[in-house]
Amino acid sequence: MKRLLLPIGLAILWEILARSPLGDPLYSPSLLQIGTALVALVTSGELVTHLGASAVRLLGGFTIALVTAVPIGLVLGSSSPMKRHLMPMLDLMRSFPSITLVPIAIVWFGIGDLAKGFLVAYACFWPMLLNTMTGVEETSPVLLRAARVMEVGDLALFRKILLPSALPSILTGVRISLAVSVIVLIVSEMVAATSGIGFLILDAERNYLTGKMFAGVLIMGVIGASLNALAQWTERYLLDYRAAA
Amino acid sequence: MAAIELRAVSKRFGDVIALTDTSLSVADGEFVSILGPSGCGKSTLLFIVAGLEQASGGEVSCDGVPVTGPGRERNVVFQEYALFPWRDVVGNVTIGLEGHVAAGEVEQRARHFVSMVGLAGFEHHYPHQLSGGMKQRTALARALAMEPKVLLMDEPFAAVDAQTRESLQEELLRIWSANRMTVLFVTHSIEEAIYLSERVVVMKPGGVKKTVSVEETYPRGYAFRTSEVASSLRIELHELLR
Amino acid sequence: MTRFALPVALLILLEISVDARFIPTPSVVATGAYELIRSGELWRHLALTLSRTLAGFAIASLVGIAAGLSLGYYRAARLYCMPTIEVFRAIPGVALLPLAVLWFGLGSSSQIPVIAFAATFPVLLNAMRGAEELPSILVRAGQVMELDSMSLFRHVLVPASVPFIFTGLRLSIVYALTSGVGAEIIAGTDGLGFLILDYQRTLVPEKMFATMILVAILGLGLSTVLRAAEGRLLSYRHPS
Repeated sequence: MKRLLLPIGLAILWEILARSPLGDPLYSPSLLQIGTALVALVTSGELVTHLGASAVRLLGGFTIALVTAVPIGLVLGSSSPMKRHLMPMLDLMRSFPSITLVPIAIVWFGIGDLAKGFLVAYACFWPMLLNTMTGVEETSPVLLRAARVMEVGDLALFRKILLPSALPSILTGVRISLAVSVIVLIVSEMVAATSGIGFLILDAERNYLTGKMFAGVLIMGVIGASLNALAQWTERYLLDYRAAA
Repeated sequence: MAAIELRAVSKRFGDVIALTDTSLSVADGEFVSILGPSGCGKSTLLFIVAGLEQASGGEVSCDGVPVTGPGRERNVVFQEYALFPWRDVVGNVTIGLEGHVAAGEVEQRARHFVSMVGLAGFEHHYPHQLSGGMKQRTALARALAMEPKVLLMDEPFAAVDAQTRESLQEELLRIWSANRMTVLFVTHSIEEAIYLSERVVVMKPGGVKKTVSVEETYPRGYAFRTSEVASSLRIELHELLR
Repeated sequence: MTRFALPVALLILLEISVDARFIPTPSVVATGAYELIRSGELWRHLALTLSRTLAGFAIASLVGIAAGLSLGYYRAARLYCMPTIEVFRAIPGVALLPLAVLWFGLGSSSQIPVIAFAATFPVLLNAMRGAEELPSILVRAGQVMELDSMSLFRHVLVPASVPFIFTGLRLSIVYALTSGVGAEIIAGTDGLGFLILDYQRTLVPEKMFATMILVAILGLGLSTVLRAAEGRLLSYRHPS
């Protein structure tokens, strides 16, 4: 119950302001307007279209980054000669803030899903790679020695020792990369797109459909918070063995 | 009047009973150890005297004044040192003096107590640069600098190596003999209790089992540790703890 | 020296093999950088992006540290506020840009609030964790010395939280710059983000690539300054 007190209070305050002489339906739509817009978004199927478009881009890019960054990170993290040769270049590439790639992505891949997927993948790749490497580097040497004594093979070493012990760090990388990639996705959907949640919000504003714009932002917050909760739950589930210690 | 007086004190944490009907009286200037297995409530008893925990029942008083919370006349040395990592040795000692001692004297007084515990020359070292024993000396200096009437020590030497422990014990007795504050000392080491204290309060889960006196004058040399008296006390206490 | 062999080889390969309109080759970027610096058009945009980012970051730091420490220290406040904060935190700052433009108009007046919003949450959450994870033994040590709540706050809570706050600030500055440049790309008429998009649209790739690298340098510079400040403030943790 306590959790709802603040949102309810904020909503009431908002409604009072919106309906007062200070309020203007164009700039501060009432809850009724926002609610109506929300219902219209759901029933018309518009919401599903835009959410779906954003989800495909985000999931696609994220998955590509995950399946490439983690294996590369495991190998690089465990091989110091490779790291020595590749790190300067990797440092150079990751220091490009992914946001600055939004315009060039249009040149490279057009204004469709491919460009957005690439941007998301690029934004996700670096935090995942670096956190995987950190995780591997911080694997206790005692564990590695124990594995060597038990004659664990190379592949098994990656799968059974390095991956699990790097997992907490990898998950941190996942969380950071999701946060950054959502920003990049929204920007690219606002700059050049015909679908997606970023497009929905900007398009509503350009057409002075303020209620719809608020509905879009609100949906974004609720979905994002649910995803965060899901990520936290996954993390706790995967790292459950640590709680016992 | 007793420096510390507990009458029929009890303490519950939810459904767990930590202490029942515990009474204890410590005279002014006395050195008393509380000996017991882990989980018997000895630290709880100490924290109740410190005012960090509230007794569920019974009365606790110091010099006849009921204990309602922490007070400067009772200070605690924690097992985990509890030093502030962002302050150097002197800074950790001054923190309890600031605002209570004339500003010009704070630093000087802190340095006095730092050298009393044998840390002269380490005034500006930070906690992470100190060994366990030196950390505990700093914590002791911090407590002593506030000139408490009662010094409460919660297994202070449990985390340091055996040699350091012995020298810290000797140091503590030297300081106590010079200042004669009341000391209540929690430990799970039989040897430590015998070497340090005038009386050993043996605890069982939930309360006091028996009090044993150590009839040996101070100063106590190293020979006392291996003396006949100490050995027979060791056997007696060992039996009581079984 | 060998560690630079691979990047250098790659750069040479880039230089001779690719179409400079699509991929930044070293010579093109160098030309672009030279032209940008010579014409002087760059400095105004750089100053704007930097000032917006820093203004938003400053607001975010103040709000984030104050709110984070209070939330971390008072369990009850967390209970009431956290679910709402979780929802707000999940909204990327740039998603609020259309709203900000509607309310405050184009330019810095809408960009700074967006940057501040985006940068508040990392420092808030980390400051909160710092206060939440304050070792209870240090609080007890403060209590037996009878520190009043003001001293406890100033001498125990704040210094104990500083390492956490800096972790947050380092994330926040990245969010601030990313959101600032993003906002300039979406609806800017000046600033480095606008410049990048503008050079792309007007087909001046060499200047576009040079500007992108400038943003990267700016980001590295800001992070380095923060790291240096952190190193000074937390020097007690390292052997001198």
